[in-house]
Amino acid sequence: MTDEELVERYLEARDPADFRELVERNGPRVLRLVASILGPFRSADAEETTQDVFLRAHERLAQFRGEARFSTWLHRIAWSVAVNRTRLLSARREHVPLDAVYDLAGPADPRADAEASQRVVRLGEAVEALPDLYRTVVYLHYWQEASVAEIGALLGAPPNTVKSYLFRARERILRSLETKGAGR
Amino acid sequence: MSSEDPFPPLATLARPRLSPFFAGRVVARAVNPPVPCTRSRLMLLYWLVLACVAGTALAGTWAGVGALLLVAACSAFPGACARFVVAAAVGLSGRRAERHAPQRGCGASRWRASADSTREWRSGDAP
Repeated sequence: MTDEELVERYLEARDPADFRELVERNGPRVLRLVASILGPFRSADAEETTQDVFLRAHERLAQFRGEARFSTWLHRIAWSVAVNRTRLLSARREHVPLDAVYDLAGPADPRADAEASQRVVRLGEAVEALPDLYRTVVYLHYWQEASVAEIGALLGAPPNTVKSYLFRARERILRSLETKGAGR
Repeated sequence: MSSEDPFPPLATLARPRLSPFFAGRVVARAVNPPVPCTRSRLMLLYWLVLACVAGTALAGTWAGVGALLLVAACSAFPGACARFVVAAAVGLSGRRAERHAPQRGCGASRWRASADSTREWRSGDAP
């Protein structure tokens, strides 16, 4: 049974098991997208934001007309909820706690030295300075290790567009890293 | 330097995972949403009108203005106000107790001794 059929059945019978099935099927993909929008330095909020996405989708389920695929519709909601959450978190905290990479990358990998951690911090700063869309694409590709086709499916964009986003994002990051490297 | 060089460290960062109870929690929240705390517009209107009427009535007299200032001071400094009220109540009860203390007969000397020790304690001369 497809997602669209499940939605239809849920709207008719209101059986919580059907909605649960939808959450179980789509949860990991939505989490991946939400986590990439929030970024690895705010990933503690990812599960709560994913929950908010499904609650918002549940509220608006009657508005789903089946013109697009359910996953596309859900990812659009996920984008809106997660971007709003990012802005809220950015407004509350002045900067992203990039030092968290020392806890994440350092102790887990004994070979990682201080210089490597510094490189991750510089890279994190450069990625965090990107616009929402480019930042999400970079995190999806390099952090979540999603393929171009998967990113296209999550963002509802053709693969060539995703490639061009990645190319431009990489250019900006490298330029930023070079500027910082020259400044040191 | 190739454009891929700086990115591999990102893959080493921890990735969030959904807890095993995630779907159950979402369904429970979706099916039984928490009842929002709603205030009826009528009650809001009632309080607004009451505040306006009371404010106008109180502002018409000096006693009313004094009462308003007192309330404002109490809201601004609740801690100091509470300490003042407690101290005043203790002082008042002490004075009243002394007034009603037995002057003669059995128990009078014991009462006086107790009142003296309380006075000493208040003035900081307690042993």
